[in-house]
Amino acid sequence: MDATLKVQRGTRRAAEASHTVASGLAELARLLPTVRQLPSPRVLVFAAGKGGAGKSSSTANVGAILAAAGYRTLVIDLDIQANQAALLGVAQDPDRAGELDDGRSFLSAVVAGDGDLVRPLIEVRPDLHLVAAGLQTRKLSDYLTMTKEAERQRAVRVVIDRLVQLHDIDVVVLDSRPAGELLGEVSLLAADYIAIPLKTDALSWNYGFDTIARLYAESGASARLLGSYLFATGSANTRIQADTRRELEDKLGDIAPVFRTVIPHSEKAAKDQSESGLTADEYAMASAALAKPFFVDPAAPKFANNSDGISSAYASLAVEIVTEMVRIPE
Amino acid sequence: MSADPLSAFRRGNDRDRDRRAEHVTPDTGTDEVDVDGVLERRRSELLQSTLTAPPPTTSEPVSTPPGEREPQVANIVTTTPSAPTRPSPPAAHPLGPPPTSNAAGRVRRPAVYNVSKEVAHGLRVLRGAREQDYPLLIATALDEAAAKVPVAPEAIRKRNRFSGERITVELDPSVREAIKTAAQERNLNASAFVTQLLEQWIPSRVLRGQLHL
Repeated sequence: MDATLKVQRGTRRAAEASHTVASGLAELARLLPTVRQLPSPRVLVFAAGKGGAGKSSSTANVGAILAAAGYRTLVIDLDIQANQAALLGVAQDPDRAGELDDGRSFLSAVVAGDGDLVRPLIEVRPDLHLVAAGLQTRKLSDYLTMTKEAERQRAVRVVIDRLVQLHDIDVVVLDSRPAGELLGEVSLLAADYIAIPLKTDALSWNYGFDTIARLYAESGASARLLGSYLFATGSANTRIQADTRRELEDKLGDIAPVFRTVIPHSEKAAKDQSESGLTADEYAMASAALAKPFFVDPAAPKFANNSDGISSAYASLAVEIVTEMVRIPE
Repeated sequence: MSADPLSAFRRGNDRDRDRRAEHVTPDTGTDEVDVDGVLERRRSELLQSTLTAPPPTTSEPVSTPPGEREPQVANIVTTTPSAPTRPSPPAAHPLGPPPTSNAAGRVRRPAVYNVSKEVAHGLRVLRGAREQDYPLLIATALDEAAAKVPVAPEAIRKRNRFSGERITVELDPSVREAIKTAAQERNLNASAFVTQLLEQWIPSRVLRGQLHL
């Protein structure tokens, strides 16, 4: 293929993706006043029954898109893996890594019942704050294990409520453990809204939905299921996607929608983003600016081919989530 | 697979309706939403948020130790445009006083600065993000970082471009002189000085983030 033509096509794809993201930001900005009229706090959790389902990536990227659209957003990481610090670039930043406290201040706040004790990382992006997790988050799980079941939700929620008040937060996004673990269950209890990423394999089905539904029913959670979406599905598997979507729609009925957005799969993008601390949008922008075909510049950095598609998908997902959030449920 | 286990989720819908019913909606005063205004404000906030690097705290000259490489090649290449351009009238701007020496008829020549690879990457990323802000980004970077180089965005035209690791910026002569003077005070040539300024200004995460991609 003619090299120039190939480059131009790449540029156009990036431009279209950029347009999709810009449209998404505009739509989110349009919805913001309505969101601010909803009861506060507004705590969203991406729930899944197993690891690797897309909770952390969705949290970081949807959180970043919301913040980019002007939503004062707080990401709270309740996973000992501390993915959010890496995904949002704090762990890689020597200027800010010193602020990471392994989740100690959040643990202290929950134990003391005093949200003022939390030291969030302010403005890891404009309007995006982070309560990071770490080794101390394991102790949070231990502490909550020793807490009466009825008290667990309140113990965490009271801290979140205070953080929302202190920092004037529009939306809180929780990154949790799988729902089968205590911190995952507590996240379900502490949330107001749930979104469920789902892969097409049987394990995701069993753990993704049935486990969450049982836990939800038994724990007394009362967050609203905003919808579900297919995560990290190979773009070529359109038939499998269509079958899964149909099955999902049958399953959910009128309870909640299946979002149109499908988050595309890319090992390379996932690896690069977690190493560099760039969000999908930033990664796509870097790709558009820096990527060159090998025959043009062999030394140019390499990016995932579908970085622009991933960026657009997260923007669309954020719009669908917020649109559903403001809709009055039937 | 049965849909029964999922029926518990209806509880969430019920609770959401109840919460809304109990909630007193704050009066926002208007039904109209100024999306453009929000985005414009947002864009401006984004721009400002990148300006986190403090200005240099020392006024002592910075020199490169003997035998050590300066940050990339350090020379200014100037070229004469094909036809003289008439500068726009200066305008007041909070970033600094308007250029004073762009007298009508003076030939404005673009200056070419060679910057480090990391800075070039960082600028490309930022330019990719908000191309329309690029002249303002450069102007603000110089203004914020140098303190001694007051730059109005009008002084830097939109014909900035990259070629390899060279930034070509069309500067008002007064700005160019200011950069040159500030660089001389630090025993640096203009390219090294501009590199240093921009390294301090571009968010370190952006600079570093590109290195291992």
